[in-house]
Amino acid sequence: MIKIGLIRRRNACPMRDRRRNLRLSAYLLASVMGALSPVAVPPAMAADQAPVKPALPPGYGEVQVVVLGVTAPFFTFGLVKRFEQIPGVEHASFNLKRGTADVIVKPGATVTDDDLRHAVRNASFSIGSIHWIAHPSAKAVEN
Amino acid sequence: MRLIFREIRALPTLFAGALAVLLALSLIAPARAQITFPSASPISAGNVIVRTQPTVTEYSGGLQSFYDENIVLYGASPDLAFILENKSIVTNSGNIVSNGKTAAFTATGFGDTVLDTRYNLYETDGVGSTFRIAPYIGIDIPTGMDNVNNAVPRTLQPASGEWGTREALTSSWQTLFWNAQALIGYQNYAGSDGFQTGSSLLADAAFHYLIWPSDLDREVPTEIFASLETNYSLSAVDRMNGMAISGTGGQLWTVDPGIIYSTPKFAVDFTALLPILQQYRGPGASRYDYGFEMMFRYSFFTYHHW
Repeated sequence: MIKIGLIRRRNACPMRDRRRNLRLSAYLLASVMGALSPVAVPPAMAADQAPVKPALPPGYGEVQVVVLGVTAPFFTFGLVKRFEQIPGVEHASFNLKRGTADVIVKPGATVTDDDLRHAVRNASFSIGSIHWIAHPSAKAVEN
Repeated sequence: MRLIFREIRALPTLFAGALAVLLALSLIAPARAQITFPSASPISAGNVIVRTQPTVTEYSGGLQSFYDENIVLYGASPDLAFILENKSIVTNSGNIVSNGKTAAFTATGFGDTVLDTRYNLYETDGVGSTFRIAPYIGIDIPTGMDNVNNAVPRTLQPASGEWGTREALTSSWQTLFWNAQALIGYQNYAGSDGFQTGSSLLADAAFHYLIWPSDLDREVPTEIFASLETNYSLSAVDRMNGMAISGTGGQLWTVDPGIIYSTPKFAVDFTALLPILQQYRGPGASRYDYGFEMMFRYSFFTYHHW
């Protein structure tokens, strides 16, 4: 058992010490994870909070593609590039745990399910499903 | 917190289990295998991965070997990949005994090149997992220097000067939290100027375990893996003008713990090569003490593919 800097005082309230130790441990863990992370994590975000997703700009489309077989960030490189190669695709990102690619489509662009299937196969993976969250409008919508 | 400690306590058990699996896999077939051997991992069509891999090996009697292997991997189609391996520089140095006198030697030069073709024969994919089997065949091209130092025996020259072939079956089982890979192969040489390197049976297995981060429910920029690899080779003796060269051939089995830092564009690893079994045919062999290998891998993307 590793104990670094944890408080254990004689004749002290065990519950209070336990709570204090828990808080200290959580803080230490958050500090270590923050130091290891390539991007500095503010203390408020240390408790595993997913960043808030910005709203989709007006007129843009969004499609979620379930891709089977992706297991590590190194393999997402070719997949994301394949999606971004489709004319009209603005940006693509990948969530490893859910196995979903989030593809943002420019206003007025025509991206078909076949384009997405073709991109996934060219990346050497298999398609799960395609779910359009928002289709792009014919042209950019003014705010 | 208690849960974290329980997980930390469970890690040695997990690694012991993984080691047992690797040892069992290695015993299936004997092998001289290279560290970070080719796997059946997916590669996107048009993706180019460049890898450089300097390796230092220390042998008993003061013999030291250094080489830098550069590998270019190209995804020609979703199932077909070409792999070009070249030892850009090889240095063997140590002491050689001749007529009762000991003299220091160094043999430095270009190494040979191997061109491999890998085809993805079987693939089953799930969310965050994939299992693939891919055979590959390769050809050894004698591009290196096989006579840079006349005082040094042929086995210590930077290159063998021989054409050769390599056939292997490799498989990968990858999940979000661990990867297991295995390879069984055979390497054969044609001989050159009376010298022939003994053919080899190769067996490799590797296990990579994700140690950071634990949360993958987001766009993950970086991962750190603990790796444990094992390489086994069973080689025939090298021959000069048909005569067996003493101290060559035999079997070598190494266990290689390491650590891998991986991002979508590049990866770095550091691996120690530790022999646990070595038996050579005849006296005069330099025994393998230990080795270190570093690897830097970078991913490019092209729009050119089949």
